[in-house]
Amino acid sequence: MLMKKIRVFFTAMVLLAASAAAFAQNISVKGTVKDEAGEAIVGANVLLHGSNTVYTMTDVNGSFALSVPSNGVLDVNCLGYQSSSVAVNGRSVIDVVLAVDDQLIDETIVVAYGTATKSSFTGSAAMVDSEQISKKLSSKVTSALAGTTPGVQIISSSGDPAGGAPTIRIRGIGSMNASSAPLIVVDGVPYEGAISDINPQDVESMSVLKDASASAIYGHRGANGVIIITTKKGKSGDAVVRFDARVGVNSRLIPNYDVISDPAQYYETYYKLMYNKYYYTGHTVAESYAYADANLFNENNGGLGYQVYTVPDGQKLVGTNFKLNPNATLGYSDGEFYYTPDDWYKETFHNSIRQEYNVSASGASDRFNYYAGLGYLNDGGIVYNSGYQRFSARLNAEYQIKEWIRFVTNMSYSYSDSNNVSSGSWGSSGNAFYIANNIGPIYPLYVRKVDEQGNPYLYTESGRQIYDSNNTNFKRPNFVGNAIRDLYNDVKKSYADVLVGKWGLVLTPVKGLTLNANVGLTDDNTRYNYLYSQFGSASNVDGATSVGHSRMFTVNQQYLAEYKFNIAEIHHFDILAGYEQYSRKYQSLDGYNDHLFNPLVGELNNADGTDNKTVESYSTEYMTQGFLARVQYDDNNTIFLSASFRRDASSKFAPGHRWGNFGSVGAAWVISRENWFNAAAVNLLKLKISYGVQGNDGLDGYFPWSDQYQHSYDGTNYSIAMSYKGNEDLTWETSHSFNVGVDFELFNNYLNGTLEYFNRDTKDLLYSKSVPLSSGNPTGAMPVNVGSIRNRGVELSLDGGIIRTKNVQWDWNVNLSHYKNTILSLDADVDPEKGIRGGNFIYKVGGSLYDAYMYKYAGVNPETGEALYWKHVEETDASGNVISATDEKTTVFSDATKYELGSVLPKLYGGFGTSLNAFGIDFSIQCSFQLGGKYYDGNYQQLMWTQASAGQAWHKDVLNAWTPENPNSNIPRMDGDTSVAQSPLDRFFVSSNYLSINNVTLGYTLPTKWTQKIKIASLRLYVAGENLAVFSARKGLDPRNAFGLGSYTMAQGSSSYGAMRSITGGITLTF
Amino acid sequence: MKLNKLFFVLAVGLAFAACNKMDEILPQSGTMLTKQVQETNIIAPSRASASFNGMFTNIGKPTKLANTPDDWGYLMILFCNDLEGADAVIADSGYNWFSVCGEYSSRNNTYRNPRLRYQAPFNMIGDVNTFIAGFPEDVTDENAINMIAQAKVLRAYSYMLLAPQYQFAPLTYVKAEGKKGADLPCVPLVNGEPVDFTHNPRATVAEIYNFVMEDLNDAVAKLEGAQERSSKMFIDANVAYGLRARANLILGNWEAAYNDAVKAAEGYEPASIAEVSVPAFYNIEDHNWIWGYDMATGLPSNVQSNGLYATTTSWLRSFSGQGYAPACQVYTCINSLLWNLIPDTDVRKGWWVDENLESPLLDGLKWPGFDDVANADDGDNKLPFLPYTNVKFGVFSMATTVNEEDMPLMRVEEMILIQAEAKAHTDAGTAKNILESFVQTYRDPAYSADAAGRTLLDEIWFQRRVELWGEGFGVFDNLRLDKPIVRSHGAGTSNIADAFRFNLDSQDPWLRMRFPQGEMNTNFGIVDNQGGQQPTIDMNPGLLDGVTD
Repeated sequence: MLMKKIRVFFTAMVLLAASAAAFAQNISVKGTVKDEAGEAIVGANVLLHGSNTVYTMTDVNGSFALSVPSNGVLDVNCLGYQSSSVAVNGRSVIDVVLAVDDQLIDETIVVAYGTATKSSFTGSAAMVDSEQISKKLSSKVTSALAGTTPGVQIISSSGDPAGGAPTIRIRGIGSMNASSAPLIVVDGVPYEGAISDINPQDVESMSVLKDASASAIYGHRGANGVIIITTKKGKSGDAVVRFDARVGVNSRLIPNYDVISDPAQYYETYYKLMYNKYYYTGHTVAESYAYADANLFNENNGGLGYQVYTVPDGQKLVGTNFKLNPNATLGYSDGEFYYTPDDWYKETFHNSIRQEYNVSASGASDRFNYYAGLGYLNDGGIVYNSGYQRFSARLNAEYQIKEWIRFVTNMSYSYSDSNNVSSGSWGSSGNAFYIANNIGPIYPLYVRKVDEQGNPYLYTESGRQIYDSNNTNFKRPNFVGNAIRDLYNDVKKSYADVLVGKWGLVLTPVKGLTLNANVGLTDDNTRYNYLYSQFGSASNVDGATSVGHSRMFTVNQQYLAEYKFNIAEIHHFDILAGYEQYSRKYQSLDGYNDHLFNPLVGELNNADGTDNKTVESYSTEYMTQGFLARVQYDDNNTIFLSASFRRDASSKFAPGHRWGNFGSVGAAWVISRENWFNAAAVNLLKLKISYGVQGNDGLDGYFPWSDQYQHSYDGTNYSIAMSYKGNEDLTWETSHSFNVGVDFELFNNYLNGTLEYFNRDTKDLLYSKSVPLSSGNPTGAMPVNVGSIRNRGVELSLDGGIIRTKNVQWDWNVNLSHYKNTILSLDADVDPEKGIRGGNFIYKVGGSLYDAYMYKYAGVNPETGEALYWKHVEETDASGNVISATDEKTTVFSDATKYELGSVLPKLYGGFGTSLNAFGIDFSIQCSFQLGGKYYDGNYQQLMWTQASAGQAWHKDVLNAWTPENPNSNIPRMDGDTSVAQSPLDRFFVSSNYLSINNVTLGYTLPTKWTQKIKIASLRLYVAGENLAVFSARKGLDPRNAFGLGSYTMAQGSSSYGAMRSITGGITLTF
Repeated sequence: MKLNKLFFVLAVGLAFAACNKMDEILPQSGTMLTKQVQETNIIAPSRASASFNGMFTNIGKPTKLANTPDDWGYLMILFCNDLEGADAVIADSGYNWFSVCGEYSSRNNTYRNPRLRYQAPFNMIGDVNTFIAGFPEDVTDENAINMIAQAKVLRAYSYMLLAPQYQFAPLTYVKAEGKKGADLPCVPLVNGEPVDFTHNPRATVAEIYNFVMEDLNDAVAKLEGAQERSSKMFIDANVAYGLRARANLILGNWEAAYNDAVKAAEGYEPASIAEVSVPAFYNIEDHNWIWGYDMATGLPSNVQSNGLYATTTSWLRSFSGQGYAPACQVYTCINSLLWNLIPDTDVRKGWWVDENLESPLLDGLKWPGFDDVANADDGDNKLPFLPYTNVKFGVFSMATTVNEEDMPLMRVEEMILIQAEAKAHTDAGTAKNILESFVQTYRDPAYSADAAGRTLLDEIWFQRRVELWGEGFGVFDNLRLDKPIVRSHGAGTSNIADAFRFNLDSQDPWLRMRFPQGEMNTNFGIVDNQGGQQPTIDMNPGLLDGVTD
């Protein structure tokens, strides 16, 4: 595109010189520019041919007026239409009709080291443009990929505005133990900073490169796909100033599970459980009641700890009918304290404000092109002391210094200020989300005392609210401290300064040759100050602080030469060669101390402790380099061929094992451009095919090639011990991708689409090979290159229009993806029959990486209410051959067998949406879904406990547990489950189907004729909703948290931050 | 075109420069690569002994597998032995990370607890084998010979921790199998010889103990008369004798056990009544410790992994200001069934608070901000003691937030009790004298071995259970003596939580641990233990062990 502009520019210069001699008198010309249907074209450029300064633009009615020489020529052009040149010939009224340009609307795709038009591209890529991105209310630009791009899966385990980026998987899980994350490239430079440090409003487009033809030239790390983020540039024409402000509300998206919230019901159920625990182990009815009565409030003997009901003297709280004593009243005083339950959930979660302001200016002239943006975001969290603020600034500029040399620079700086809260995939007493979602409904959150009249009041100390942290006369049997209190008292701040810059020179010494040298860097300095309050978790050390700084500095150098030429204007060649080097240095410095003099200041100089001071620091480095080459050829824009090669080295491998060779070939055939092709309904029909090899070095550690040791000193002796067993022979994991597809555009773009089939075989997997624990390996595993897996699937993406008239445009889009993951080979040491067994998964040749391996629930014994499990029994003859195999039910959990339960991955996933523009009103909706998979609902399992979790919330389903009166229940008797809480049972699988409404936007753009009066080019008002709803198989469940296998030992969703819903209103002004 | 050439030269030049740079990339941190270790040993030769020290550090360090509050190396295995026995009790609440021991759900292929108990010793065995392999077989350097001998003792000790977890004791006639324990499969043997780890079947108990004795015999010979060790965390002849005394006791070599225990005790004096009338057992310098774990060695790496919660101080000691036990009221208590049998005249009666949370050991002790240690309750980090909470184990300073208390691995008192037990099989009179002389002098002046009416062997076991409580002998003694695990005589007879209230037959197959999934996946020689099921409340109410009847 740029090349073309430069060419136009030169042509214009020549023409100017030629026409300088002919002088003519200026006259006023006015007229209109319309399309072939007679609709006015707004914003068309009308330019005096050969002039730099005499030009105008058509207004909202398509009209223009200009003073030009009477013998001049008007060049009229507008994006999407064929340009037209009209001689003035002394006329004062000139009406121009522009034809739609099929060539020009050929979509430009940003690809590796350049751009390509959709029709010429031999690979597989999908694009998200700035319009879609700017609608999103997320600090993370990659969230715009959800539901919009086929083949891309987005897993968000946290909705924390200050938290991590969503996990992105392109075309399945490409590796077993190495990274399956795509490479992210920002303005041509690999990016490893936080994704939230890129302001989405500065982003022009995101391309997802899915196949090898598209990304093999990235060699290393391209194996799992590449996401190319391109930031904005100025567009030719008048400078544009854009201002956008949006303000709204963030709230929790996924409600809690349907838990028992009535304290009476909770006590009754627990009482029943205690009774059963005794009765069904051979005790008498009387003994069983006696046990439950004696221990209901004894937190150290399996009881609940708290009494929050007052019962008349001598009466029991729960009667022998397992019902609450009707004389019981809620609230209990022991004379000192008053106990009544609080709604922890309500007290913890709240709505918060989201504000975002962005202003940008951009423009371009002959030599200079710039985009400058400033943004401020304040994204509030849904719990106290959580949230994210970001100030960002960007300057992208290009300057054509000389005819043959151009300077390009992209720079962005962002400063973020976050309030972090503890969350994660573990249920722990320090995790406020876990507590708020999982605590039983009988516990007070606050300490209440009683005054002299016996009236309860909320207790404070020095003005501080005092929370119940087991500091009254009752103790909880679970949940130490009080994580909700700690949300208020512990302040965990982090501050990040991130500078991302690219500086480049583009030389065009001779026609067709472009030399490009550029340096890109990321400098990410993050400082955190965590204050652990003396009024909370750190009371034993009088408050503590942990302060740290990390610095990540990456440098990427690129030297590229590109030569384009053609033979007879038919055979076009584009040859690229270059060298690229990437290095990353990570440095960290941390300190801890306690005994804070001022309880509110989390700095080490405020910490006067002497015993527990720690200071730690380390540095580590990573580096890759590679040579690359690519040849692209097309035969008259009809047949396209491309081939690429890259040779890469990575510091993750030992010398001698560092280099790997990667590359690809691809071809495309635009059938619709063949002369013989004649189908009016078909605007574009293209076949494409590609094959390529890419590398992956994405193991977690920096030095997997070497054994590693850790040391310590006790004041007298140094100690050292091996901490990691490395492997010197380790080298690249390679993925071999095949892609074939068809692109089509039908009925004047009323139906466009792409259908693709892919097969990706990953070989020499970077595999963390388990070794027998008895071999003494410190981690029980070592990295090796062994085994192979395949991801194979199809993707379909369709879009088009329903109504397209001057005033109404109604478009739609849908995409569907399916893939299957298959293990092709495993380590030779693995017994093919047994496979590799994990706690809940099994890897076997022919199976997938997501094959479940779990105990099978066989219902409830209707006589006793005990849970039943399947047990596989094999009889063998003397020589060990199986002569018979049966499956039996057993109540003894330790006798139960794990079974292979197949893949849990969804069969189909995708997204759909529609957008409508009518009379200035715009409306759009974007949804995503998945179908046919399974999700292990560990949260639900935790809420269905029958043993050993006293004090935790219960799902209401337990109310339907087996009793002698309810013998047909499929839920075991309270305490009738011999399984242990942390075991994977197929009973807790649930469908992972979901439908989520990711974004809905409604806007209104005021008519230009109104706004122009106040010098505003356009003014749009809008409301947008992000993450509006998720429909899943169970209330409380968000299957987007994890791939299907989930976890049985972690409370995945209920201890993580959880998705947020945002609804904002905004205004966009352009001048 | 000139530019083009220049460009090419530049690129190639950079590539070469980069290549060299890549070779220089090494971690600058607490982790070192092999080549950095070698380099360090040349520049700073004093660091060469660090890998030897490292083996000892590992005794009380997280295994690097779990990074959880229950991951603290060998010391955690010892703690589990007590909790799976009859005499140590932790409340049944959500804070008890060791409820898997209390309720015996630890017989599970995928649980972390059993995996840690399997992995820690095998890591040590691997380290020892690597260490020994680093020396030529005919090494003559005195220092090297000494270090090899110590390493072998560590290896023997590791197997002595593994064997009873996976199979019954060698002398036990296992009725269900119709064989002696010695002939049953135990754990894979890794002895430093080349072995195919993926097909390394379980060696028999006899083979394991043969190897243990081989190591110990060699070590005793090499360590006898060697130079004095620099710290009691290392191993000298006394320690080697002491472990061999334990092994001989397991194997029924009574005379040898006696002789070894005598040699081990040489030079050590039991703690006096005065010395154990206050919370004690936290300082490796104590004169009655033959071998111990110096917590300061392992603590730095422990803190990095888990904070301070994965330490014995956090769980076993009731006076930590940053411990699980005091913060969550999961104090390690004695089973009142045993405590009730301790005579009032015995100083050890006070090693645990009574029902009213009182003990003479607490006299004069204060919790910061509170007068009464037992009842001090700050809501966050110190909750009141529970009845029978131990105050046996003290701390360097009350309410410590450092948790660097040392842990005894072998005390002279145990050696005296081994002497008595070994003699009891051959010469009851001498045995009784040894026992009475020890207890009367050091614990209970009014003591008589006959007073309780137990058999002599049961009386000695009773003394072991009281004296060595909390030091890791718990269920191992039951297995060694083929004695049932008797936790209660029914509801109301003991303070043990209801969920953990059951008795186990001494040969219940559930007593044998199951092999971790990671081992089963990769070592095809392993056939897992089978049989039994998780006990239920009040199971086997009638079992008696001869001590707490």
